[in-house]
Amino acid sequence: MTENSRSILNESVSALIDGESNDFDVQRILNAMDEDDRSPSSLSRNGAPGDGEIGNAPEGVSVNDESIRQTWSRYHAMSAVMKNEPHVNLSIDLSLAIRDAIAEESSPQVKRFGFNTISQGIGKTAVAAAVTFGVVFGVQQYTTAPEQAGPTYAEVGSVAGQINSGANLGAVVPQGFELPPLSARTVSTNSLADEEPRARSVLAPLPQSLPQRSIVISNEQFQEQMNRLMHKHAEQVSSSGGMGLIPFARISNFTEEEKD
Amino acid sequence: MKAAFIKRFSGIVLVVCSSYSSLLFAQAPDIKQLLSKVSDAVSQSNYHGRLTYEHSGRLEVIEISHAVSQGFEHERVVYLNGPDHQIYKKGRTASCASLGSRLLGGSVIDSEGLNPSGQVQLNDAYDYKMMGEERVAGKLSWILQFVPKDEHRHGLILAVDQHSFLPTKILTISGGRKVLERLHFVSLDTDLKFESAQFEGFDKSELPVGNNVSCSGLQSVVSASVWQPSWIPSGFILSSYQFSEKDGHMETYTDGLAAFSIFSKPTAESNFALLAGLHAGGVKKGATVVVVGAMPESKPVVQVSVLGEIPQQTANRILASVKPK
Repeated sequence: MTENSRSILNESVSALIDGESNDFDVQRILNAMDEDDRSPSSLSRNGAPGDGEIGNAPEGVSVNDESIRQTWSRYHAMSAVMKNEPHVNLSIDLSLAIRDAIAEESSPQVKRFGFNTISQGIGKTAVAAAVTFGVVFGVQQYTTAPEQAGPTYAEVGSVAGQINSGANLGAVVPQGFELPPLSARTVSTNSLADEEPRARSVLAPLPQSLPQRSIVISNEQFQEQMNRLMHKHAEQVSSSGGMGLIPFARISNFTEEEKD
Repeated sequence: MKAAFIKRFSGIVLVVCSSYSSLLFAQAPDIKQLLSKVSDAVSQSNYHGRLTYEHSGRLEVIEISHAVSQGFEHERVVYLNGPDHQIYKKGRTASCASLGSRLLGGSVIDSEGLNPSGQVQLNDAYDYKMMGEERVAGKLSWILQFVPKDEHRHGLILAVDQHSFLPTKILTISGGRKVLERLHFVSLDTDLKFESAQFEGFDKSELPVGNNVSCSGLQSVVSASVWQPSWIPSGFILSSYQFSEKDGHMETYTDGLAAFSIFSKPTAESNFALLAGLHAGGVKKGATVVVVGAMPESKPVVQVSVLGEIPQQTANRILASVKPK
């Protein structure tokens, strides 16, 4: 496989993880896996188990297939970390077992061309149209929400209220602003960008195991102690370092962070 | 004829270009000198500015003021969001060169104990280079990049105002090339002359913190802590020590850019179990990490906390190395 096609493939994997993949991306990944399964390298591997370079790959899986799998798992881990999802476990790979299970299952016969193909197409168009309608309708709902002055907007107001209360849980949306409608991607200047998943999980309970949030969930005594230590540290760094008052910025708003 | 002209012309262009680029290059100051100017400017000039602190997608704003009056520093920090909170500091002589600022300024400092070479300097800890210039808070600034020489500290990008030599931007970058936090001025007024009325605003005599900041001067700091680390990353040096009933011994170490503090005090076992249960995995905020642990085989339990702008693994290793003196 050439360097170029490999990078295209990696992009497809990335797109799939981000939920931005199109049919071509999925097809490309599947093709690459199929192709590699048939490729001579996989045959030679099965024939000669002593080959050191590919010794790590499980039975029946080619090197490239395995590397796609690894890429997938790696990207998935990155995505999980960026979205601040707890419990990223890289050691478990279920994909092989799942693939085998699917392979064993008898698949229904699909007609090459005919009513099914057409109805599928119509179905897709219908879904797309429905989603578009949903987005447009949703946007209208949310954009009218701030002007909830009149009684006619009573219902919309309650929806906005719900979202606002959710926003307070996540505490990422400034007052007077609504959360982005549906799952619009927020753009952050911060590479950690952990705000988006928080904004999404509006009504879910606060994640308990995230290190950044452990300040929030811990008891007052602990918070107070941490605040005091951070304050003392900033003070010492400020007076004994070369950056003046700048270290004090790090303790800013700390008490507020505990509250929300 | 034509070819000869082109040849000559291109020669001229080349000369002009190269002299122009060398002119540009000459404008960029020596980084060592620049850093030494930074540490002087921070403590010796008058300025007032607003600074944003961005970490994990959050943005907080503080206002800082610094004035020098009769050779003494007066400082004020106002937190502009969250609870109304201000910090005043005064009393340090402006010419006082702290260990951290001397390290930043390129000094080689003798250190005893943990550093095998017996000497510490910024060069040992970071590779640095000039990245160019950029406007920050309306100030044309030099952009410097600090790449750590080991995995025990974070990388930094520092912007320095070309006129006042004050830092205008500090980005902390982890080993995984993620921006952990961003300290960024949005406004910065320099060359200020504080009117006496304005000055009273932050010359409060009842000082909540830091009212007796002494100049550590040229002598090295001596720690009276009975519990000390047996390992710290190379390049770090003890820059301050203090003791309080509440938090026990506190030692602060710096390499000129990064810093960490070690707190140690005896604590009730039940109290510690509670804390250890809560902290599980450490607390993070921007580039700051806090790890808490108990010193092994200590009776009563000695609670040790390491807090600083260093990678968590490094903090854990320092924590594990703390032993009775």
